[in-house]
Amino acid sequence: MTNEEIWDIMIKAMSEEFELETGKMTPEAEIKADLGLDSLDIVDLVTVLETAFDFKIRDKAAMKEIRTLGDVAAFIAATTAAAPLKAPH
Amino acid sequence: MTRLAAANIWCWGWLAVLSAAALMAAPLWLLLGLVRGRGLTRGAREGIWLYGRAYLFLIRPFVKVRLREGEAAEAGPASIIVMNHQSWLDIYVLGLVREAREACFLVRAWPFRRLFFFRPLMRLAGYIETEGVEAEAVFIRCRSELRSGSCLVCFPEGARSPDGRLGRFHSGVFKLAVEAGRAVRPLAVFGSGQVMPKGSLIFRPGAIEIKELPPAAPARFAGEAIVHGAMRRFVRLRFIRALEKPETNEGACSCQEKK
Repeated sequence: MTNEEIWDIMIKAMSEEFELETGKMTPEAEIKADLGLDSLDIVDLVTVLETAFDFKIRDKAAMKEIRTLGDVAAFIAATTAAAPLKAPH
Repeated sequence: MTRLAAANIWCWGWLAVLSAAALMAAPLWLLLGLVRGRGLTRGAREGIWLYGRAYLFLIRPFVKVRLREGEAAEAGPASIIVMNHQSWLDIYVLGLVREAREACFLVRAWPFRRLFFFRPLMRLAGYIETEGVEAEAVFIRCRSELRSGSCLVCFPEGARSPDGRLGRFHSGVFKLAVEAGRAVRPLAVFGSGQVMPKGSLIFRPGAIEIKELPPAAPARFAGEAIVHGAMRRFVRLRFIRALEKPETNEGACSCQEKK
């Protein structure tokens, strides 16, 4: 899976689940400050990503360190053993 | 004198008089509640509701508030009311909703810090602070309130809309509804943001309408990957559809979706 594919799937899954405007979803966007997700949403984000990418996130503590959408994409890339992200869009 | 000036003198004047009277009458009211065996918490909640109801009556010459009842009345008393939020008047308009008579509000941190006038009453009424507190601790208190038969009131947008457009909903209240197996009862408020928008101190004469939308029960969303997420989206969509229908809110705002 390429970085672009990861980004597209992630944006689609997150925008649908959390009703986010895709225009605001940039790699630099902070998921709490800019997108307005709260701590409960971060818990749900694990399920959203697991469903969208059909994998199991075992290191859930690592999700707490994530700040931006770029971090999320990099986390998925690492988890799916894809190449590290350079510029998702 | 213009109608706008008259409206502001009238509405602010009555707010000051009524608030002062309510504060003076509060000890007697609470004592009466104790004598009647209602307890301080229930007495305070009922007193706040009556205060809101009285204010709506007093401002009727300039601000007419109407309740359009729906199926929500059949959802049972111990459920969760969710409302869109455009103005501080939204709290007062609940004075028309009988099920909110002894309701417990879910409140962010700032009203407990800054509304020094109402803070003691909010504490006495047992309103639940949702910010800066562990989510599980909030859920425990909410579940306890629901078990004791109280109705919870929440603004899932978390803040007043600056432009009347419906904001994103937070998940917490829907997660609570799923965990507690309780219905969510949406109340759509029209026009309060035009009468008293966020950031304004000027009353604009107009009409406010509350419309009870059909309740949403968690069972409807069984099988979804994130049940409370599906419930949240469903309820928000109901708000969007209700707020987009100008024929149902005569003289009120035309609200649009805001993601």
